[in-house]
Amino acid sequence: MIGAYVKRHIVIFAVAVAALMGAGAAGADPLPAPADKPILTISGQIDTTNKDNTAQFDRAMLEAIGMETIETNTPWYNGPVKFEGVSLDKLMKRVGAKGERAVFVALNDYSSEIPMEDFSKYNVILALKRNGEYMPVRDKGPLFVIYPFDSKPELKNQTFYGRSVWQVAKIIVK
Amino acid sequence: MSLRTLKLVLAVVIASFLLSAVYISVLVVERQNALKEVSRYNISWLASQAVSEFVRLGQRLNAYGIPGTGVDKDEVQLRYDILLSRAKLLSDGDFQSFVERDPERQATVKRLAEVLAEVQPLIDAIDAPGNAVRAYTLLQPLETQLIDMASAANHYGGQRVAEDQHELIRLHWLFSGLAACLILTGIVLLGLLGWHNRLLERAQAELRTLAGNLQATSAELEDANKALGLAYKELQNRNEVLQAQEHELRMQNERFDAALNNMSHGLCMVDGDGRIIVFNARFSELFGLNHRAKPGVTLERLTRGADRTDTPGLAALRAICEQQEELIRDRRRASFIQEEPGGETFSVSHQPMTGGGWIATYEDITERRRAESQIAYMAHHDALTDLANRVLFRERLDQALAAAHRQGTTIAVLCLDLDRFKDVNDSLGHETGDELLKAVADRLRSCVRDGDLIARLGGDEFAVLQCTVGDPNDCASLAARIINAIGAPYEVDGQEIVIGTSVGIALATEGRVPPDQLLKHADLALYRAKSDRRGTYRFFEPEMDAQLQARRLLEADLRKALANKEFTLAYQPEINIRRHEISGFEALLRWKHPERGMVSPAEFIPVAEDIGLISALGEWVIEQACQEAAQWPDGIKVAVNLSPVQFRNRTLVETVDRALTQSGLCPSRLELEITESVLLQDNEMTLATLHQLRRLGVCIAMDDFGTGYSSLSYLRSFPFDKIKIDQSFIRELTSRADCLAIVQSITRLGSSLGMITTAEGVETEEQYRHLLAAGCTEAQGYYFGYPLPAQDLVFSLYPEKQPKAAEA
Repeated sequence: MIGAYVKRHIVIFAVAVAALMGAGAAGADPLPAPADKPILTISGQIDTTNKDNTAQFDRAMLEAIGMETIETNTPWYNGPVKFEGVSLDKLMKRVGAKGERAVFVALNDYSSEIPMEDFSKYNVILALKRNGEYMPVRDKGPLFVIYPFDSKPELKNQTFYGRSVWQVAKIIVK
Repeated sequence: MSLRTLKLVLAVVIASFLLSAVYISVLVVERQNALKEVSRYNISWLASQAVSEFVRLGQRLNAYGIPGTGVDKDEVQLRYDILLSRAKLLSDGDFQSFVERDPERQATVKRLAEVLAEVQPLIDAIDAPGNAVRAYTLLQPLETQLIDMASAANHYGGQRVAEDQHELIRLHWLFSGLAACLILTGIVLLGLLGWHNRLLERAQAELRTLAGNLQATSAELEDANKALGLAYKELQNRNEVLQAQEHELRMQNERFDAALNNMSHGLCMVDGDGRIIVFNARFSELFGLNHRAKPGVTLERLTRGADRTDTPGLAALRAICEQQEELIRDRRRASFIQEEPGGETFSVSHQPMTGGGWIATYEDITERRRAESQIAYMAHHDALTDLANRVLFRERLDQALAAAHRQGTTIAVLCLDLDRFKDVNDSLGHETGDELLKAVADRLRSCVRDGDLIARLGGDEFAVLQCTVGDPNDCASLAARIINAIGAPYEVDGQEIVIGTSVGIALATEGRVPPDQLLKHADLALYRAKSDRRGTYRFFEPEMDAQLQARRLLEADLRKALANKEFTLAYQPEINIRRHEISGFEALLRWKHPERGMVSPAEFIPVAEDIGLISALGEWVIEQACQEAAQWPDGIKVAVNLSPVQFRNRTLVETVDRALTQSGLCPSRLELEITESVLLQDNEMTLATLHQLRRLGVCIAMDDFGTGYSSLSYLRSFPFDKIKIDQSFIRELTSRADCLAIVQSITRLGSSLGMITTAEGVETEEQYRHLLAAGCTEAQGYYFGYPLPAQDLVFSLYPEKQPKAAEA
């Protein structure tokens, strides 16, 4: 009993410290626990976490950060497609990311490393919707890294096509 | 190759260059596309992923239901979904074209889709037992087919890469070739440009040479033009000069003609052959040639047969030509005078010319000669008596002295003047005087011998130059003759006149005597003769000259004395004998000669008057006396003697005034003493001067009264303040009764006229007593005091003199 009591207090203390630290460093609100089934887990060098040193997001939490729209041609679809999703830059700030690179891991364990600077530089989004519909796993969902390929010619390149990971499940900040 | 062709070639090269560049650009685009192709989705990757996911689903299905594997329904569902998305990829895009190539592949893809559709209900109901096994069983047969397709895809991918590589290599070669072409073209272009440049340079050099040639030619042309201009200008200048010269020449000719014909001289120019070249109007007029003279005629022909009576002019010209002959022969210039028997005189100036000819000018100087000789005569003769004058006498004397000196002979000069001639002139008039002088001249002529010269030196002075004197007695007898002849009575205008003469003789015996000195000697002898006894003659003696020398020496010393400050003033007191006090001092001039010591005023004053020094000296005396007297006690006067000569000088009043002003002496303390001789000369002016002096406030005294004329009218003519009785009366005052009577009368006269009377030369107490008794106001003399220098003066009487005076 005593042991459990102590252990519980340590946990509370740790959570408090973490919350304090997070608040102090990022100046952001503490991240609530996901209400629904989480679709994205961010780990690595981040300040704001909500579960086991990771930040887990359900769809609503992501949408709460703010939705942005990119309409562009892609190698994967014929003709221009409208994508809606969260700004990766804002997302990284939301979790207080401190690294230089982010590794995006797909459901099928495909992974790709993206320099953090890309997010603000190219205004990259983590798309949730394609042409107004949520993307299912069967169609590259639930999350798809989308660069605004039409906005800059340099983006129409294998490097950026390779960074455009679909079926994203995890992000590891390094 | 011409430049034009080269340009064409260059254009072609540049065009091909451009084309190559464009083609390269196209190739680059193509290559880009090819690379894009390469970058296309990897088919083998898709196929392998499909296989991988297919195997994963199988694995999950197998693991489902087995505890501890952790595989739940969701996991199986997720894997199924993932496989479904993979399967979908196999039926679209690039993969589709790969699938369509082979019916087997199409069947595989179709079969996969079908199987997945069949499996879906089983997956959805995976909980049901056996569903997982069934699903797996359904999927299992496709594994081999999928792996086959993956292998084929891999193979296909490799093929595509090889193709792409091939394409890339082709492109590379094409590109390289084109680049080489470009480089080659560039080199060709460079070469061509170089050539082009060279051609241009050559063309430029040619142009430059051409331009240089052109410039040189132009410069030469300019030079030539300039030279031409200069030559033209020069020509013009010369032309102008020539014209000017011509004009000048014409003018000169005219002027020459005018000058020639307006000359007062006759002019004639003759050539080497004796022919006349030029002559003027005056020439033909002079010699009465009329129209006979013409250029080309010889003078010899012109004057041939000339006769003195008929044609005197031609005769004169012939005579002149004869004179010229010698000059023509000797080619020498000369002037000469040709005098004709008839009196006509010509002055001829002969001048030879280069080329053998000559030119001569002729002037008729007949009149001039006459006038000249007349003037010469007049200049040397006295118009009244027709005797030689002083000038001629002086000349002749000179000549005679020179001759006498040469020949060792003696000459004599006799000087004489007429006694009482002035009286004759004054009483009988000048006309009579002149007549008398003429008569005297005639008588003198009768006395002398031929060769002797009589001259009238001026007024009634005559001189005789006796040129041959064998013995001094000759002179003496001549002098005696003259005295006798002139002493004989004259009758002029019906009046008998008797005058006499004295003669002074000077002999020039030894050595050379200057004529002036000889004349002076004669003069001195004359004065001696006159002063000894009138109507006699005297020879000059050196002693006379010594006196003269002494006098000259005195004059010279006197001239220096004032500047050398050798003069001083001594003051002799004048005593007011009634009041027994000194009323003033008379200033007396003293000259201390540096060698001779004190010189008497009686000796130097007349000399100073003669040489005109008296004015300056008198001025000095006045100034000095005033200055010294100014230092004396008030009331003590100073008396200064004035010379008659000073009265002739108009500055006397000024001098007195200035002396008074400068010294500050009260004018009433200055007394000026004059003798009656002052009043003898130019009475009116003298009186005016005296009145001016009086107006200054000074006192005027009559000095030495009683001697000379002692005209009482003098006392009337000017109101003198004082009468000074001459000392000659005082000297004999005690011994002669008449002197006392005169002194008494003058004293009375003075007191009645209100004038002070002063007795001069009082030496004894007796004289003083008499004077006091006679009523004299003042006295002066050694008895009262000797003249003393200013610094030794005592202004009061000696005490011993006072009681004596008082006793009287």
